[in-house]
Amino acid sequence: MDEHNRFRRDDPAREGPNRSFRSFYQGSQARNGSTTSSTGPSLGPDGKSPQDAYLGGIGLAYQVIDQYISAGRNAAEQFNRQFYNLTAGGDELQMLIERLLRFQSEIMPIWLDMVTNLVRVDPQSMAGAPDRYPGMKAPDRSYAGPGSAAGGPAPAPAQPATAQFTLEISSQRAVEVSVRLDPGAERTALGCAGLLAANHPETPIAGIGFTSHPDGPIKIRISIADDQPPGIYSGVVVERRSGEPRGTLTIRVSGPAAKTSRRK
Amino acid sequence: MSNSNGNDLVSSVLHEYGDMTRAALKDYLPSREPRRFLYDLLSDYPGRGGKMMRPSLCIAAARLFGARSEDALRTAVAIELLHNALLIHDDIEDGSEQRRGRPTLHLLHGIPLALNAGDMLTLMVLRPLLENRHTVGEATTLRIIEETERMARACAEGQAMELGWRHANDLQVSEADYLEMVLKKTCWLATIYPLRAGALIGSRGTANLEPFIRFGFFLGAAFQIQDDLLNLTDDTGRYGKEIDGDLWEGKRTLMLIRALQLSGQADRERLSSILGETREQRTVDQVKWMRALVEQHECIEYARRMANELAGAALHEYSLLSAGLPDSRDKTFLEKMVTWVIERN
Repeated sequence: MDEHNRFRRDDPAREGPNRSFRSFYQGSQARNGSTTSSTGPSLGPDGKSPQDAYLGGIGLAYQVIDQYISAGRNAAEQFNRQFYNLTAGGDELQMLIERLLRFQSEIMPIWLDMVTNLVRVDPQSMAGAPDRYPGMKAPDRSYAGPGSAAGGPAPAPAQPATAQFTLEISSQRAVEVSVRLDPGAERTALGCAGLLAANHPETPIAGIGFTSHPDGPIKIRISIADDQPPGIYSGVVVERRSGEPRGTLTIRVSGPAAKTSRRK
Repeated sequence: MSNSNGNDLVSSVLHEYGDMTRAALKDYLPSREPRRFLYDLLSDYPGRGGKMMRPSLCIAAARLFGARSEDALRTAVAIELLHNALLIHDDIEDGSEQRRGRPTLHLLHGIPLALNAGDMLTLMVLRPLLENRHTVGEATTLRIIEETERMARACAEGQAMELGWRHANDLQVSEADYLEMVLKKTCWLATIYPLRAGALIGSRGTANLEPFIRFGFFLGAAFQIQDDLLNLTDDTGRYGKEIDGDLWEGKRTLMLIRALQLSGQADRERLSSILGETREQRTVDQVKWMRALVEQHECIEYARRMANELAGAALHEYSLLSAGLPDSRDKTFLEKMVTWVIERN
């Protein structure tokens, strides 16, 4: 028989969507465990039609399993309440300790795995991690990129994720510095128009200097005035010649400002 | 995939995982003395064959979550050992005469030796479960043992329900009571526990196990009703138990419960009188009359329809729990098991 001669049955008329398959099995009347049969000519000796009996059976099955699961949950909750009642005696305490140890043994590897992944995923954020210099004049500190520090992670196989830099900070105040410089920035002349704080737009930090060396780390000099108001100051590091952004610089200044008049 | 192909797949996987389990199980069955009164008895039921549905469900569920078959093998062995142990005890409690086409163990060796063999098989479950720690780690091993304890408790409760009904000649057993009994007695060991243990192994304890209770219940209930149907209707000789054995034993099957519900006063009183007797007191005529009553009220058709619809619910629950899992032979196998349990003979 070829395609044209094939007998085809008409598509069944669409009556409505059946969005809840479970409700279909349970039946609208079966949720409370009782089935009310519709009166009709095909009732069985028990007053149920075969269709009602079928819906009742599946509804009953769902009722049985739902009640069983619910009872299991209640029993578990009750068990847990008893479990954490430490006044009951030493046995419960011993069980609690064992459970804590088991929890620790199961969670610790997951936690360590998660931390390892976090560190591995974002080496750039390590490079730009805030340096804390609570002192007045911080010593030069070089960040030579991932992999150079003793005991650090394995060397990056290709280009480092950030340019290398050293910081020289001059401040009477405690500051936190966060730097991110694009790879290759050490080969360009950098500048920063100043760092602005949202709550002190009238007093930017202007004392930012960059010295680039093609064969060495960029030296960043930061000078914080004694009367600089506390706040978070941020700005964009740009390439002087083209004005193209090459990184960001953020400084958090803490503590009260000294009572001196600001230079104009 | 057609039903025929689906059943071919089920048969193939049951054969493969069943053979693996049997081979591993041999390592746990001692071949030393005392053989005559103990160890030969232990290997009797496992040596008679069987469908190996329970261990296969466990291995397939583990593989469904990405585990190797070997990871689930010890648990599969434990499941098969416990299944055979409980069969020995069930046969004694029910007074059954045949198991897998041969006389039951207690008829061959007497109740004391059969009981002892069942006890030993039960205890032997501990060994493979403890050895799980070498493959799946200690945390998952403990979880599986917890699941085993829960399953064993449910099995005993279900068995007590059924034995209690017969002991007290209870005629008020409802279909809900029957389903609860089947959930505990049959489903936990036959489907729920193997699936949950397999999922624990495959997911290293991270899988949500609750959906397996629902799926396992509908699958296991359809399996049990089909088993009860075969007890009344098998004409192939492949069933392996005595035909009408449930009627001889006075078991409250779905068919008998339905017949009790639909019978008039006179039939109900006669049925009560027959069920109140022991198996030994029942006559062939009484069993034939019960059989006729079940047929008169179309209880076999009712039960068959119920099994089909429970299987439909099982398919629905399986589609929910397997929705996010990648396609695989084991995923298809578990789906096709639903059809297989109601089509088997």
